Amino acid sequence: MSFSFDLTRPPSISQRMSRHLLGQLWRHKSGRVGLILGLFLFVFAMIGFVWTPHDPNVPHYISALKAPSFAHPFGTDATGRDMLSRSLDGAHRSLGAALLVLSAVFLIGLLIGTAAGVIGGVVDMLLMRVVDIAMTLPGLVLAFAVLGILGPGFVNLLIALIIADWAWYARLARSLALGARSKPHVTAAKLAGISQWRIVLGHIFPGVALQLGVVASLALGGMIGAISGFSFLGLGVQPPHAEWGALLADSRLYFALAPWLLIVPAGFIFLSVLSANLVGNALRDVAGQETIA
Amino acid sequence: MTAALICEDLSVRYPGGNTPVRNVSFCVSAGECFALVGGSGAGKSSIARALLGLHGAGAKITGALSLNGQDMSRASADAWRRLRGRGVGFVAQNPWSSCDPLRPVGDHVAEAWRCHGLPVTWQAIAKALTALDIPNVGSRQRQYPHTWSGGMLQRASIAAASALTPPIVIADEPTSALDADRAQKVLDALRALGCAVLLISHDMDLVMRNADRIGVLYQGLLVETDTPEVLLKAPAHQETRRLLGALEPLPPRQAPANPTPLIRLRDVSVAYKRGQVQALKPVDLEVGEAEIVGIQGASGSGKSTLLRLVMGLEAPSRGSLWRSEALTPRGALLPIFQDPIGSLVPHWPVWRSVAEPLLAKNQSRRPVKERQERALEALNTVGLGSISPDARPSELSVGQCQRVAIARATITQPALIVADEPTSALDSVSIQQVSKLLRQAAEKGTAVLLVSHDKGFLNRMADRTISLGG
Repeated sequence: MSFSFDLTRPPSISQRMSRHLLGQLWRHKSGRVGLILGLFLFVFAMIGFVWTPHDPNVPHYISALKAPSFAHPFGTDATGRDMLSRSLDGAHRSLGAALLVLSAVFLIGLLIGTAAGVIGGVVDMLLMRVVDIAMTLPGLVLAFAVLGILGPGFVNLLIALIIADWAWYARLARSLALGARSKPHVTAAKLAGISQWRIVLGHIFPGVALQLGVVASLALGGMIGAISGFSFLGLGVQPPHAEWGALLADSRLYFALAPWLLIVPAGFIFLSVLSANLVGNALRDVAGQETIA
Repeated sequence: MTAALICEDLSVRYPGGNTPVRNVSFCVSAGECFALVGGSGAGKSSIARALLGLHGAGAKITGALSLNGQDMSRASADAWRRLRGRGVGFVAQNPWSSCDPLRPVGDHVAEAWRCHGLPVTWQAIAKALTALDIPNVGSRQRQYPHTWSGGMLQRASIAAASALTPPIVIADEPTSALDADRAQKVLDALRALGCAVLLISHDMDLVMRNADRIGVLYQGLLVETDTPEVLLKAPAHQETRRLLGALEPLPPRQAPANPTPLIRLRDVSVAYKRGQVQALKPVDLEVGEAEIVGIQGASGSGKSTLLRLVMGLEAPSRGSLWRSEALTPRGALLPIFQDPIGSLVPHWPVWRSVAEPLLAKNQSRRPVKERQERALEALNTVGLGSISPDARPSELSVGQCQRVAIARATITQPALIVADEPTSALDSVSIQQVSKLLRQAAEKGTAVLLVSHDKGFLNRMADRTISLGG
């Protein structure tokens, strides 16, 4: 008995989606919830980037500390600014900054770690000593030190967080690359005479990237928290600009009087962390037994 | 004769709707060995767990279940706990993982008494172990599990399972971690207990030789129950015929006369740490064209080191290693590994793994379409024409993955295939398929160097076998 395949017939959309990572996430129950939530937050941030119902930064003292109403669905703050407008305006800073920092540490860690793991020898030794040095200082202290040198400010905060975090990803990527290098499929490729570049790009890199991606996506929640924390301390976004962490910081004097000042930014931070963790967990599940996270 | 176990209309349903066992009815008489056989996913282990009350809180069990006349259909967790050990014994699949590595073997046997609050003496443990042919019990029971051989440790597990003389012992794949000789000894020990045995296995050979009656499971249903003789003569269900296919002998093979040598090792040894650690004792090996050569040895005898030498991934410390011209080009030697899933790239469709050797530096460049066609051809020859070439390894069974790996190793018709324990992760049906495929490769002119701990497998497969170590 012989079987044959119709090579001219391309796989259907559903077949393609079922194998595609995004499709797999969509079929994962909690992954779908996380994706929908993430999409909602993304749209929210995009809207805030181009349009807000009121000017988020101009005070309007007459309507200070107004409870949520039709005109101000999320109420107003102590200087009468509309909380919906400020939440919208702050969304792209909070979410965008966290994504930016994570993408940066993910990429830097992936490249340096994989290079160290694959090349080995002196290169590995040198790169890992740099990583060791970066890791001897606790992340928060390092970030504070960098901010102390560069001065407070949003861009400086992002630079500080990248400097504080990249080494962990590089270390993890290296050990993942080392593990992948000794997998049977890599040995098989080597013996078959496949070039070193092809092996690194086809066999090692995608696996390392996927597993590192799972770790990074699970860290998104923590990163939003960290950025909010620094803004809370006044080291991140500077007034009058809005950012969820800064909004939370501003609320602390009034929250007994006007609890919406606390609930609104805290709610957005909560939803972002929830979305990131749901997607991260789903990613870990669909990536299967190959992941370590 | 009373029945040790009666199981009527047993169904197991897990939360989420998965129903691995559907309306299964059978009974095991006192002193009888009843075997449940079936492929992976047939529901064998789910039945074993249900019969021990270990199905978990979420699982829903329906049907009637009686052990030694005691109705256990709606038994509480407490009632099950009292019954286990006294009313029903259990022998697990892997003896090493079912023993705590930090406690001596004697402790594990003693636990059979202790967990029921009964007094136990070293003499009682020694008696239980001696009854199962374990030598030097006095000193041995104080040793740790990792120092015991698998067969002996499995017999100790049997001693523990039968310590309180339960009328029935359930053994879930008790021999899958053992080679054929040791497996038979374990089965003999089980039968020697004299109690009823429910044997769960995928190894038809073993079951045929040892069971009084056999039940064939297929997708959660008990499709056929009969004595081994009847099943062998007139198998009614297609699943029975499929499982029995594993018992067919391989076609006779004519070993090539005076083959041109491909690789020759003379007195080759490997040592690490300035000679302190001898990884491979001096060995002679010669593999000729189209030959199947077996290498047999226990773990630690240097099988893997020898393979790394042959593959050129390591250099010998002493002795001479000669390779023929035919082995010089890259890709002339391709491997097959023990772990079939790990030997395929997890994020690639299987056709891409199969076609990978075509991308070697010395191969002429081919367009994707041609490589795809070649991969499909290769998949067809290993009998995987019916799977989607876009499937990922995780969607295939272990046996299918190993056949994909063989397709990859044969796609360029290399001079030599090096197979490291290619069947140790497979069930008996897949072993049969893999054996046939390796034979086919040899008939097409590819030499096969086959490494295994299983003497019987090598005797069936290889033209000649070399033993390492000892």
